[in-house]
Amino acid sequence: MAAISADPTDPTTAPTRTATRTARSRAVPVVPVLVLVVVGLWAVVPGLFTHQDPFVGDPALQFLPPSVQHVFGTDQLGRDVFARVVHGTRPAVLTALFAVGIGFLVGSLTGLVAGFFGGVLDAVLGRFIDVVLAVPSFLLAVIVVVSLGFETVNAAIAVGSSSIAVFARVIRSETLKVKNLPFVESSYLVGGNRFQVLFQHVLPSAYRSVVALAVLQFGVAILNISGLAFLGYGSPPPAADWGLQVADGKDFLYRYPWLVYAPGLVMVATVVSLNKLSRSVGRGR
Amino acid sequence: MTSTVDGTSSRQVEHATAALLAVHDLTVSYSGDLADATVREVSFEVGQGETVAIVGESGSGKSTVVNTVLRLLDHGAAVRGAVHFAGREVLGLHEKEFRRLRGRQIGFVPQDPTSSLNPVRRIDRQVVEAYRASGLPEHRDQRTWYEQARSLLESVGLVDPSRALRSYPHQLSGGQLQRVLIAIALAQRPALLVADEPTSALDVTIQKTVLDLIDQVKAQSGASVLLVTHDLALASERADKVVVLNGGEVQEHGPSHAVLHAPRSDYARELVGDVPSLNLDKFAAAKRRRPERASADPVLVVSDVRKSFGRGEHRVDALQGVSFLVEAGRTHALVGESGSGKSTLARIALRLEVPDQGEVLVAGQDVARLDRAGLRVARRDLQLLYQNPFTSLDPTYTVGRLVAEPLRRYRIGTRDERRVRVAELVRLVGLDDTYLPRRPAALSGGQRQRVAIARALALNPRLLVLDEPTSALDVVVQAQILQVLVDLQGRFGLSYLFISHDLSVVRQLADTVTVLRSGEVQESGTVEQVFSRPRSEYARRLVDSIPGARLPGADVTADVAGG
Repeated sequence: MAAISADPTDPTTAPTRTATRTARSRAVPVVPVLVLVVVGLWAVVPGLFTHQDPFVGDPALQFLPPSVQHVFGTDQLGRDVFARVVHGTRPAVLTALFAVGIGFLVGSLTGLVAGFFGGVLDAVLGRFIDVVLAVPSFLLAVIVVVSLGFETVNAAIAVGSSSIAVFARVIRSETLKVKNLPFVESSYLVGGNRFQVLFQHVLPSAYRSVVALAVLQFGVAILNISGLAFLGYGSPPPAADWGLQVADGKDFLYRYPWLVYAPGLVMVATVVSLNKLSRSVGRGR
Repeated sequence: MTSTVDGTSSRQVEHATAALLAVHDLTVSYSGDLADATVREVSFEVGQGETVAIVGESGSGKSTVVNTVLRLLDHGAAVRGAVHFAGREVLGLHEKEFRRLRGRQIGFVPQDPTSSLNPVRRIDRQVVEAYRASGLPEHRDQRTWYEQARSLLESVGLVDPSRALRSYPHQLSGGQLQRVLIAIALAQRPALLVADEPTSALDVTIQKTVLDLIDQVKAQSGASVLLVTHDLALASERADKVVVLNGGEVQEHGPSHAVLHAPRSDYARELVGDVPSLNLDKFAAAKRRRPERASADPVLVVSDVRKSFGRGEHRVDALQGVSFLVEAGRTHALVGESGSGKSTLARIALRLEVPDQGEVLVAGQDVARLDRAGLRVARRDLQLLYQNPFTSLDPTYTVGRLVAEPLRRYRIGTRDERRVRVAELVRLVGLDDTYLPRRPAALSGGQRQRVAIARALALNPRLLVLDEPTSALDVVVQAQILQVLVDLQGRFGLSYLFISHDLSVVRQLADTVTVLRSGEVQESGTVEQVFSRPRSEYARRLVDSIPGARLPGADVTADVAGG
């Protein structure tokens, strides 16, 4: 039998890029995770990263440009900007977490109930969600914080409640998908009641869809809370909020740009990293 | 039998000299690494005017082979070996050159007709597209296209070709669409027709007519056919040669009669032993061993059930007065094609739907009129085994928790007693304790269906409704699951209501059968009666459509079949 051997130069036998590409896209994004780990450590143990006091400055050291002693330079009161950024991380991260927590819990519950029970309840909650979605979320947050009072916790509540609708919408559609799967019907057949089915079958399957969204919303919350702080709707000075620092620095932007750029870039790096991470979480599901 | 084999092999020798398609040592890897290949060293030939069937389970690589031949693989896949079409190596061909072969020389009939036509274009435009691409002399004149399309569709057996040409795909049935697709494949008069599971998305009676059509077309045009299928009986009935694939390797390769009657490889032997239509009495012995009926009272009596959906002109009468009963400890089958109302009937028996009229008596109680508390008690006796184990088990639960769930819901036993019972149930279906902490995603289809059976049995139901329990599974696994079901019936005197469109499985498993069509009972009786002496025209057609029914040695009507 004459063997027909493959031509060694046949282009189709060459392994291609696809394999390496899939391997890379499956991996955890390294740089974003590193950024987030550093930011997380700043929030937990700021003292490890800087020994300078974020609140008390030395007037003699006003407006020093970035140097080895002062990585991000100093501000108009001679305070170390790096120290202020590091110490400002904890309130920024905590309020953002709180805000996302509110949106996640209330929004998920609303969407879950609306999607699962359907009917009138879904119609009412659905229209409510539509209305909330129609209002720009930052504007909504401003309205809430103005009516509750200027404070960090209120800013978190404001930002969180403006993201409720987003969470509700996503988990509602996921619930609609899951509740019609055979395994849900099957759990009724083996004697489950509606609440058991809702919380023990539908919820565990549906909540995964909002995990990626929660990570994404965490970044949005950091931006919105900083925005509120920038407008003066957060903690009053001398707090070290990132948004407040940008607000303080904007008066000196032309001559001492590091006052705005340092906290601004940290914020950008954090939010971009969160977006990247959210995308890989969403894909990993 | 010997003469048949000789006849086939001599025919094969004739063809071998003029192989139209020759695949030699084909190795394909999706990951790009040939050491970790999906298909390994597959060789076969398709002669002029010959039908060759590639048979294999899901994941056997049969579609990969076809996609390689058609050059439809991803760019990332690595390929080694050679594919010669009409004497020409095609793997190394430039895509531009190959495009002249694909469609024109090699026609393709896809698996799922409903998703293979463009839903927003009318059929006439999609047929004409093939004319435009063909470059054949008879398609040069655009003015004749419509007439040609009409006669083409007529030749594939569409009753009203003008109407079909004016239709959009959603206005035609699956069988009609498959005819259109075959017509499109034929429009360019290909030398080779590749059909990838052309009937697996269609009802059995339509399956037969579509396969007959392919045979007829082949006889008229002298084209060769490469048929991909999971059904060995179908393959041996339709093909001259059979290539049995498993795990990406050729297990056996030869004239279909030889493979069917004298399989040499272990895998082919197992396959031949498991194909239901070739082994109609596989479970006869096990069925005979079952105890005499425990009680004379039937477990389920359905009488004159009617159900309709929708209103006005959209009203569909799904069930129009259906009656049947399931004897204790026996299996009753509901047979019908899609739209016959068999699934609606199953859902009514489980009170997942409420009938408009009629009674559903389980142990003397009318399930259709129970209140919530009564239903909860009644459901302990009524459980369902779903068609698709990939969606009927909660992916977030472990096996242990899935099987224990019914016990927890009905508060049966203490935690420790439940644990013992779960372990016992899992062993009953042929699994062991090591499976308990696993989740469905870590199980194969057959293992999942075993878990689903264990879960359905947890409450000791009297009646188990089996909704096409094996149609999502491969042949070998299907045989194992059916074995489990038969054994359990023998041990516990379970009664089954078995819903299926697969008549050969019904013939294997059931004692009595009701044939449904458009919500009406066409025929009912014992399996032997209905299969050997069908009284209604429809039942006769169903029985005829069993693949392999016409093969010697697989006499459907015989009480003891060889195998």
